[in-house]
Amino acid sequence: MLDIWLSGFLGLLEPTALSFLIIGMFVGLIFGAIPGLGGTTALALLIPMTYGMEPFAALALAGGVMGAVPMGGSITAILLNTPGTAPNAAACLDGYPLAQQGKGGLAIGASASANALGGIIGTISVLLVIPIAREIVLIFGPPEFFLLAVLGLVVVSTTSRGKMLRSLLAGAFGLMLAFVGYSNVSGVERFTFGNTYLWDGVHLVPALIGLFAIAEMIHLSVKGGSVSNDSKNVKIIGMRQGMMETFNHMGTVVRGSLVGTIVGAIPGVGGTVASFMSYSMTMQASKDPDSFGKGNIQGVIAPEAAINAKDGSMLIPTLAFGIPGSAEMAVFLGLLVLHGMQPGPLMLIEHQVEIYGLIWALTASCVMAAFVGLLLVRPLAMVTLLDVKILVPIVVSVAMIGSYAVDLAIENVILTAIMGGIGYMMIRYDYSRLVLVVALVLGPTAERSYFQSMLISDGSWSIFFERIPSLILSVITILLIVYPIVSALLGRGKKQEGTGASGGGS
Amino acid sequence: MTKLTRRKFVALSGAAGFTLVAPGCSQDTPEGVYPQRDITFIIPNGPGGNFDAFVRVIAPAMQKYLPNQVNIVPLNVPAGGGGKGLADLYRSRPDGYTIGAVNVPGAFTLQEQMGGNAFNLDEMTWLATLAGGETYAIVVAADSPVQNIEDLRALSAQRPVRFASTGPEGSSYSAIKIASEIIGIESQIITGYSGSSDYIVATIRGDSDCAVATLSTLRSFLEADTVRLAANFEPESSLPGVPDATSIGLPELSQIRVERMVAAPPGLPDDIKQVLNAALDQAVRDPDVVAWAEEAGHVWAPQPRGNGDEVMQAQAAFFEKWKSVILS
Repeated sequence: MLDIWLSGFLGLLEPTALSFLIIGMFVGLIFGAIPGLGGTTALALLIPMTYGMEPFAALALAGGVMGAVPMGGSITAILLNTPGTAPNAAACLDGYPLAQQGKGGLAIGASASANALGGIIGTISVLLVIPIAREIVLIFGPPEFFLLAVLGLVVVSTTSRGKMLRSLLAGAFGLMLAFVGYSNVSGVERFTFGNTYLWDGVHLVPALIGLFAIAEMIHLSVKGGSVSNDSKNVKIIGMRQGMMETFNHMGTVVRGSLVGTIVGAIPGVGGTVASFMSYSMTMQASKDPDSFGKGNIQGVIAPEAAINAKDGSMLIPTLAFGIPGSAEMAVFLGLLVLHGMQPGPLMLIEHQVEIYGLIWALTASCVMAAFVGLLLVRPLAMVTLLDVKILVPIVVSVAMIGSYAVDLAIENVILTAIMGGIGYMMIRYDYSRLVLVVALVLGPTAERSYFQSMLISDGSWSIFFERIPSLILSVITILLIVYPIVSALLGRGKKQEGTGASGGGS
Repeated sequence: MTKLTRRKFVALSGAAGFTLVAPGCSQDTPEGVYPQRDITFIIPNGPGGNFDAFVRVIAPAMQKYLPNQVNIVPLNVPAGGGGKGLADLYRSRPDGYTIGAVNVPGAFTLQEQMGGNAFNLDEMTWLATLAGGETYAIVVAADSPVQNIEDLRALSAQRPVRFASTGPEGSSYSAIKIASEIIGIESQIITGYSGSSDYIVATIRGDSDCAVATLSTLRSFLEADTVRLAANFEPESSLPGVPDATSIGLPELSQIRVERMVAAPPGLPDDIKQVLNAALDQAVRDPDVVAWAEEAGHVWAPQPRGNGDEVMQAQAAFFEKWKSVILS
């Protein structure tokens, strides 16, 4: 085990592998930063080029790309409120308010070190997990998927204190959108109005670009001025301080990384859920949940640590069973097959050196990208000083081109525009876009696994309590629903008694 | 800011240029000879599975054998269980610049489901098969009590036998329906799995009693001893010790096949059809492609050039025969 682990590392130090790793890292940073492109597009464009390469070099290149994408994506998420990739959307929630307060440097510094640490923790977890990878994938059947999706929805909706009704509305709307398209349980297409574009449902990435980038641009142009309210501070002071902030919140990093590792290992759930879940859990654990969404540095650290941690563990279902956990992994799987490596149970036995090389490449790329990303931040950060009249057209063009580029469909652009309008209304009337996004992501998983569970159990709900993993998930979900109600009731009781002490403050 | 956009632009065009700009560089293209520009190869599945892999390996090989040097660009259109890819292919211009892979008999099921509005398989131009089609096998988890067809029948007497599968549009779904009818068992299909690996794992996990899959997909699972075959639908089993269609006494099982067809839109001119068929025929026999298939353990039996119409006629007749069973 240890010698294979080492030979994977040594293989990566070969000049060809190393240079492909570095090329991959740069490609990943740049594609990550451009909204709508991301790791999936980068890998899809690179696959044909790896055709003549040694498998090991191709894996180093892929590892480089995948490790660096989250860092690139977080830079635009923080500075422009435009998530470079879908999982980075969670970093917008607090990163962008920080940038508006002139603390963009602080946020990016924190994101960089959270990325690097998350990547390292993720790697360690994966190395521990690989020997028992098969058991883990086998634990998660349809009932567990359904409960996990429900848990995800409960986690985000219970965090929106004081806006319960609006969150429920946003969640319901997200679920409605999620059920559009062809259902491969029943073989029926729903709510498509005869439009073939909608057979694939509401495409996630164009919808996210609309909800975050376009909505924010509409908001900005209505408001006028520049992105940063306090332009003096944007000259990226506090990047080092930001990096240190991460170390002050090691609990958040570890929690985020563990959430990322666990969620990443479950196919079909993916990075967006991991990052939002990590964000919500951090908010729930916080003594001062109200400061989230207004520029709490933990709101940047939590999702970024989770995203990089999940990259490693997403490989588990992909390699062990050929089940890609995300679009990015699906494309990566194509690369493996092209190089004669058939993913499946044998993969973990036959190609161990390549697998460990890949994991090393991922980790190295995470760490390097964090530093290179910091070097590139200065030019990127100046963007927030731009006048809105210049910035808005540029971001809108980049966002729309990105939306089109996802799968070369002009309908994507229309969807982005519509979601932009909806997103702006949500900002204006203070509805949670987070809840909508999580519902949109988890809706199809929840629906499919619910129907599969019912088919397996002949329509009996007992399947959600019979197996130990599903029982645990059910109990956690119920506790999460009950806890805020109980604590609210207790809190009210206290106030009525006249103790008067408010719970907040950190 | 200018620096930023330029950097992005250079990176983008560098990466994109490889696949997009290349046709502009081909200098020796004689005027008027097909093909003049890139050919899109629609894959009606997501990236990952066998179908995608076959096309991605064939495409660069086909490029070599075309009269002019252009690229064949694979494009995944997985929406609607593959229905969107088929509809896109059907409606594209019959100029030879859009071709696509079609999963048969799954495509017939899709056509029935969509009421024939989106595409018409009868009108399409059929080129050839990617490689010989494949038969199926009934697979159970390694620790399953089910050993053979008799056990399945005994189980069916108590309750319907559970099969894991993709949606009703999948060829494996049709295979389950037909095989259950031939064997004489009641089946209940748990649909919604995203692909063959997914439903094989579901069977290992115990979501279902068994699954129906091709040997190509099963190879690595079999070698790792995670699954067993309860029945192999090959006329003569290529795996020792596994009952085949002949030994079970149900030779009809070997007619249940999946064919990976290559098609073009209706009305493709005959000269272009000949060019594409020639390139495809050489590509499936290309030494690199054959070596790849061997290494990956795929059943690779190149068929006669341009056998598309012939195979489709047989498949259409087969589907017609079992239509009521599949759609029930």
